[in-house]
Amino acid sequence: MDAYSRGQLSPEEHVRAVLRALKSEKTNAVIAVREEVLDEARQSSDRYRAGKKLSALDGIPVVIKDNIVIEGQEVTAASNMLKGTISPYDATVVQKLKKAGALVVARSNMDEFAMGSSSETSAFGPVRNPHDQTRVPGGSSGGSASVVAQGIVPVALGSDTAGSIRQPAAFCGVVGFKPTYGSVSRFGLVALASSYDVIGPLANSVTDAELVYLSIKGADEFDATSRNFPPPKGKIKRFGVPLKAWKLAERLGHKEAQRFEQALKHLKTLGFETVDVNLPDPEIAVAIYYVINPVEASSNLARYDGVRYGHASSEHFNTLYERISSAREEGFGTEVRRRLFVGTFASSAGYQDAYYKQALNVTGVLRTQYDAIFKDVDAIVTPTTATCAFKLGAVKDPVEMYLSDIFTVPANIFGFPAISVPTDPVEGLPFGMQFFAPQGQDSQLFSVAKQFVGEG
Amino acid sequence: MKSVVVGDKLIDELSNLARVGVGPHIAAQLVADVGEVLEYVDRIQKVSTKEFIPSVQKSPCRKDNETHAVWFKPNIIRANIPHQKDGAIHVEETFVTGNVTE
Repeated sequence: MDAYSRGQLSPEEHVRAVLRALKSEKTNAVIAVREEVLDEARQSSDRYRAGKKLSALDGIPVVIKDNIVIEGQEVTAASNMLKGTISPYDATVVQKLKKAGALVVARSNMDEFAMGSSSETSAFGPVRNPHDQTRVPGGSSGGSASVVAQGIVPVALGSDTAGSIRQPAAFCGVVGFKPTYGSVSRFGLVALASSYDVIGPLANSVTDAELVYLSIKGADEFDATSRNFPPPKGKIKRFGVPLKAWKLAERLGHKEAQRFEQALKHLKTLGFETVDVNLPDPEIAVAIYYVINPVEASSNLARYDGVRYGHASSEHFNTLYERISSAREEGFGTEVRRRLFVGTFASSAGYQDAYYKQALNVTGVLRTQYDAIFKDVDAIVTPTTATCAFKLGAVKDPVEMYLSDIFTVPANIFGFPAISVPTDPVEGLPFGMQFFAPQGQDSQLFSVAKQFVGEG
Repeated sequence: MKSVVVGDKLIDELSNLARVGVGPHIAAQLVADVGEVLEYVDRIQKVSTKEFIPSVQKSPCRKDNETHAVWFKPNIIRANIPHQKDGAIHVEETFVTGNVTE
């Protein structure tokens, strides 16, 4: 940060102000602030005074979604099940940020175990949208999006399993980047659906998001699915637009459709070519997702039994099963239980062929279609969401809530990198555009996004 | 495939399998919600996968009637699964040994 280097502001002064702002912010975006960061801020100030900053991130305050573990800190994933659980280690991404000198100032509120699209399922109460507090901030990384949108911190980390970085970024008017699956280590991320989960940044600028991404990416010996991707070749020149295939005219509101048309025109003025492409119906991707996600979640969350870890019931029970069932009933919220039931059903002996294995096979069918389309175009452009942020409590139906991720889910199913950038607001509310590309094309997406928003 | 009818009995079974208690106040809601979600995801049944060859297939290393050497009997791993009987937890072998030679 230039102000640090010029001596106009010290990281310590900055972090004190940030902690004050985080404690008094009004959207319920923060689960806990990390007071001990002041010691680290003093060390960062010393480094700047000595002209020995560690990196461009030295002294930069960062908020971490509360499903990413920080050594010595409680990690709850916004669930009663994990309240009081202290992490004995740093997630790889946190370790990398600390090594770069970044200052972890707080843990952000979210949907319980990242299951949700509105940040309403948190055991700590719902997060509100900073642009209109009667509306949701999106989810599940709603707290991270809110603190960045309020300008309290320049960057925050979120996790994206179906759109949980991009959708709140769009609802709050910030940049949200979902990296290629495997390009960022998941070690230390509370698992939801391990084959889709990715950690990524939310920021007020594409440049800041890229800076954070570059500092957290890379293969990690603690995550067997992580790897280094070779530098991409070529540039994105030709965009596919699934206008008809995704029924965008029907799904988008009038104003949102106008914003999308403006975005397409803007891309053309920047010299990009846009062509209509016949992508598979995104509702199939949503259906696949809501089989695979609950199956993986029901497996991942089986460890929370109140014995090894997790909430333990204080009542007396005659059997171990009663004790575990009761602990999980008390510890898990409604949406979590709903997914555990669907996942248990879809992976049960009599139904796994019809649901889980069929979902995997349909994924393969769709993948071949996407592969074919990516021979013709370099990337896809869509709105990030069909609507702007909806009112708190307005969406009660689970499937309707799942469909708020309709444009973001395909990137998770196939591990594509994707970015959401803000466009002109719709009636005062933020609205976002999404670009996604084949695996490993992360840097090209940053390049396009910078051109789109006029950075550099 | 015919859609699954989600009712109290299925929710009870899932509650046991998932080890998540279901209080009466939430049971009806779960019946409705799980039913709705399963009805929605049923659309994947309509997608033809005949032309698609899964990249991950069942291991070809052993056919149904083939025997091969292993370092333990397969039932050992699955034996001693505790189960509930007459209100108490019992531990005993619950699976028959497979067709395996040592």
